[in-house]
Amino acid sequence: MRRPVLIAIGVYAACLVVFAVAVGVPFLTKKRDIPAEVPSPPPLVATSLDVIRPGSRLCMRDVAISPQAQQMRLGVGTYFRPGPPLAVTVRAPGYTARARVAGGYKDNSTVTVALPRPPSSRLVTVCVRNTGARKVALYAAADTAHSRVLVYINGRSVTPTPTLSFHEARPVSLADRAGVTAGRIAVFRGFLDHSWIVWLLAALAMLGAPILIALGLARSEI
Amino acid sequence: MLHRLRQVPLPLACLLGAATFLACAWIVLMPPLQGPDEVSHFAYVQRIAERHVIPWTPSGNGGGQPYSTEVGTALVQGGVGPLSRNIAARPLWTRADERLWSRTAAGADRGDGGYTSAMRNPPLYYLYELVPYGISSGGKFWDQALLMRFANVPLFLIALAFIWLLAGELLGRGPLQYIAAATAALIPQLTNIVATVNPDIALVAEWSAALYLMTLVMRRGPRRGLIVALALLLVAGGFTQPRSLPLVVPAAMAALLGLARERGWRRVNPLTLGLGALLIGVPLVVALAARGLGSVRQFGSYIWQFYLPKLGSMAPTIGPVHYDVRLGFVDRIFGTLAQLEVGLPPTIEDVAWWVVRLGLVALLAALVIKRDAVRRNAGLAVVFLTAIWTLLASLHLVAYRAMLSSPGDPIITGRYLLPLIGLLGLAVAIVGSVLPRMARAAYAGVVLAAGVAIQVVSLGLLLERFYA
Repeated sequence: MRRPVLIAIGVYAACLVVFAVAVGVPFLTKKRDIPAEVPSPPPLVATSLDVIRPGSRLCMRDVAISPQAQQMRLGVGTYFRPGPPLAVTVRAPGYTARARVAGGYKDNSTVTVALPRPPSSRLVTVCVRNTGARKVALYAAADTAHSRVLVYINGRSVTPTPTLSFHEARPVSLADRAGVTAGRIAVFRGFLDHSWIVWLLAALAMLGAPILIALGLARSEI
Repeated sequence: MLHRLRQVPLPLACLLGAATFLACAWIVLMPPLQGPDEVSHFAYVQRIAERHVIPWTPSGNGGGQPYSTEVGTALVQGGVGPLSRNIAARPLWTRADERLWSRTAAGADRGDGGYTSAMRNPPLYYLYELVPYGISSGGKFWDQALLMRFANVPLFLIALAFIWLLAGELLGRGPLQYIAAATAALIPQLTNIVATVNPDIALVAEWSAALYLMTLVMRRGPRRGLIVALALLLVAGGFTQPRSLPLVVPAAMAALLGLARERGWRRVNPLTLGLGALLIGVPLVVALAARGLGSVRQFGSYIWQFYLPKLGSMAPTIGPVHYDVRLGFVDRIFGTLAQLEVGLPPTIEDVAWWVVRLGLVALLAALVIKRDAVRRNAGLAVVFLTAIWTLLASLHLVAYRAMLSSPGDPIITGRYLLPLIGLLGLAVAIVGSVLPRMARAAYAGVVLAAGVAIQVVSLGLLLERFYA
């Protein structure tokens, strides 16, 4: 190989190795609070409220849960006072979870409910009963972030969909969840709906493309 | 066919292969309908396919939804709508979500729905997208959405092939040609557009081809075949997106200069034509800007403040105050992916801004060093400069007119400059051309590594936005 080619390829490879070590590895190994599923995201432009009065119950149907879920989070407002206690149930065929949230949580906070892992992904119904003496509001979306989740308060349908997400118990890295992430990307991908295809494309983009570019550079008569 | 494929130079084949791999990764990683205005463009194709009518004069929504029931179901039951621009949202990613969507989407109407903003566009790109739409019409909605994105890959490769040819014609075969084409291929906003059902990628292909043909017309004379092909490209561009109309000016200029050289018309030279275009074009743009509510002073102030710091005597610009050349062009060519919500980290944006400014200085220095070559190619230089200023002037004119009634939306954005991406590639290669051989080799290594790195960063940002 001639000297200019060696220089070009050497500089190219060295830059990419430095990039991989300085940027790529930290990116993949950084611990993150990766959601297990976000069935109902927070609002985009305007916050709506689903108010649960004392003794009332709000239920959400068609909420999808994944096998990585170990926590459920809800955004709540308590009107400047300590939040009332809540009774939470999550039900689906073959899966039931019950939990109590002690009163006294802060206004504008996120309430976290521990859950047992479901064995597989499924649609669940989440119900939140206000067992205290003061009202509580679930922050919800009625704008473009309005989700497909069906919401009822005491059996009556309401429009705003509460901000609700499922999470793992501890932060994890993308490297830890590489296989799970490939499976997630494959969902709603039509004829490419397989995680091996995602892996193949990742390999082609991250390894194949840089190698081809180096090969083209080497053969471009420097 | 195989014989012809074997004639493709290996570096170009490698580049096209790498570009295909990257484009496919973008297409699959970015969730369906999450590209810029993608749902609107998809709806346009669906309208033509299902109703067999081109919406030449779109108006009203008939009191109903702008999209078909099928698209509406994908937006709601498929979780595409809540995901749009909402960085706290994630795609619905379990099989349970998919099963629920399947149940609700069964038999959903594809032919209903009203009008979307994209339907004001001319139909050529949407007619092209009918092919993948039709091929996958027996499948699921997601098959169609994905296959229509894949139909952009040939347009991407055509654009790169013409940039390769353009660079080869001007800089000769070798590493500079490779640097020019690879630089274009690795710009993140271009791959973002390839991964989106959106006519912008067709414009990039048409303009790249047109710039090459203009070069041939100038260098080899206005042969009938070249002129016809150039004219067809102008028509195709006009039927793809009105933003392509300014291309008529440099194309006409190239044809006239080619003809003048062949026939010895001394008065028709690069200087007279370039000045003529400016003397006619600038007053025309200013007059159009000043119509009705517009004013020359305000338009001038807007243009000044887009590129340069505000002077003390100036009133604040008409649009968003901080929306300038950096935010509107540089940040949006290297970042602001998906539906603008995925930006580069501030440090990389700063680096990109410095690189662009230093690159401009380096380009000017390179052109001074290569002044003899520039003089020999003065006609082409004037044609390319005219392509740049006419596109910019038309974009600013349209943006200004729109901001007169809606000043909150700056309209103009980096991806509108992508049709000129071949010239960006050329500029990067020209800077390399003045370096000594060994330094040029190192420069090639750095440029290509930076391109690959920014592609990887962009894919990582998309992964983080949607799946982390």
